Amino acid sequence: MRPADRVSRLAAAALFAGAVALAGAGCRPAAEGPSARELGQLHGEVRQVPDPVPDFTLTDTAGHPFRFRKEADRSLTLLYFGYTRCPDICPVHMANLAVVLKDLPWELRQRIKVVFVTTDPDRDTSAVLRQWLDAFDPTFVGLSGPVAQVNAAQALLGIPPVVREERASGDYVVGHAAQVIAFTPDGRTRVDYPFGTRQADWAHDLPLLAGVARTGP
Amino acid sequence: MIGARRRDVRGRPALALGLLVGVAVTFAGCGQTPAPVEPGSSRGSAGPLIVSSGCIAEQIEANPAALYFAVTNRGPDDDALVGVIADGVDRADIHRTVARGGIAWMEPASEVAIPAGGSVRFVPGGHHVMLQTSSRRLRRGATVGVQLVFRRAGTVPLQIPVVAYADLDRLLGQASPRIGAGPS
Repeated sequence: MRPADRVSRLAAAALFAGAVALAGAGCRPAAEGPSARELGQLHGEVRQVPDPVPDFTLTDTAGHPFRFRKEADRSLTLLYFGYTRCPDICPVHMANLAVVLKDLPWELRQRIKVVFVTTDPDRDTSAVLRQWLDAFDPTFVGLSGPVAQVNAAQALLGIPPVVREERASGDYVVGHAAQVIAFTPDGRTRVDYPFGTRQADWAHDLPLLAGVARTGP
Repeated sequence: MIGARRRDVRGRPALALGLLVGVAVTFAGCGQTPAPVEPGSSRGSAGPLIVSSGCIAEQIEANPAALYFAVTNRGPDDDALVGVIADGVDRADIHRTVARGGIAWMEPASEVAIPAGGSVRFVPGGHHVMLQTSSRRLRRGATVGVQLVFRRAGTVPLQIPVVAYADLDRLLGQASPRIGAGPS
């Protein structure tokens, strides 16, 4: 195929895809993000600069590569970095999200993905991670990879690297960021939800972030 | 001290993350709110100390559980929690969650001061007692015998209900601090 042909075919394909997306969502593109007014209503902390969804790849609990930018496309994706032996922060976030998601209308729930990246890959094998996440919601995605790769992903999001601290008991603890990060369906890194975010905050914000309030089911 | 970022948003009371000294709290947690998850009273006392609002967030698989409660010191002398014993539990360690440079840590605390005339509340994101067992024994619906050991007042025995993590929002969420935020 000549380069010119290739370009024109790609352009045609892009136009077609755009038209399909527009048609599918009535007069508004399906992957639109929250409006400025909606952002102002959110209970989470809206980022000043809504960077594109970072492009990193880690491994899911089935052993398959999970390319975050691709998987987050056109969905509301909630990302958290933590570890399963954490008794105080990580399970509270996951339990709160799970219980709120359970009460959402089916259509809205289908648009939301929760992704948990382990900061303790030595102890959190894929089986351990899968069992732990299943205790909250079997649809939660668990990702793992070498700590250097996890830190690289965190760096793309402006959050500090994982710190492992050995204890005299021979045990160790893992210091990690405490917020859930929300990526909106328009492919932007939008909102941080610190630890302390309540179930009522999630119930309020998730429909706004998913754009359901505007585009309807 | 600690570098926790505290916020007071939408009227939520800001709580000191360190030694929760002098913070007046309203005990609206598991100890006093009648709730279906509560199989028995979790109130107890020794001398001038009153312990209430006790609950244990259940183990997920065989991972550690977390014990929370509130202590009020009605006496004229400072006291301190120096140890915890729980039935059927291999280890009970006093921890606090601290935030440093955008990172949340679990730190051991050898003791927690209970100041004269003050109240201290263990909540998610603040202090907790980490309970470790080799198997998954602490499940929602169970009740666990716990003894809190204080330096001056002695031991407070309690029967504490085990609850789901999702229940902590209702029981203790109002008192939890906010930790972590946008890019550093």
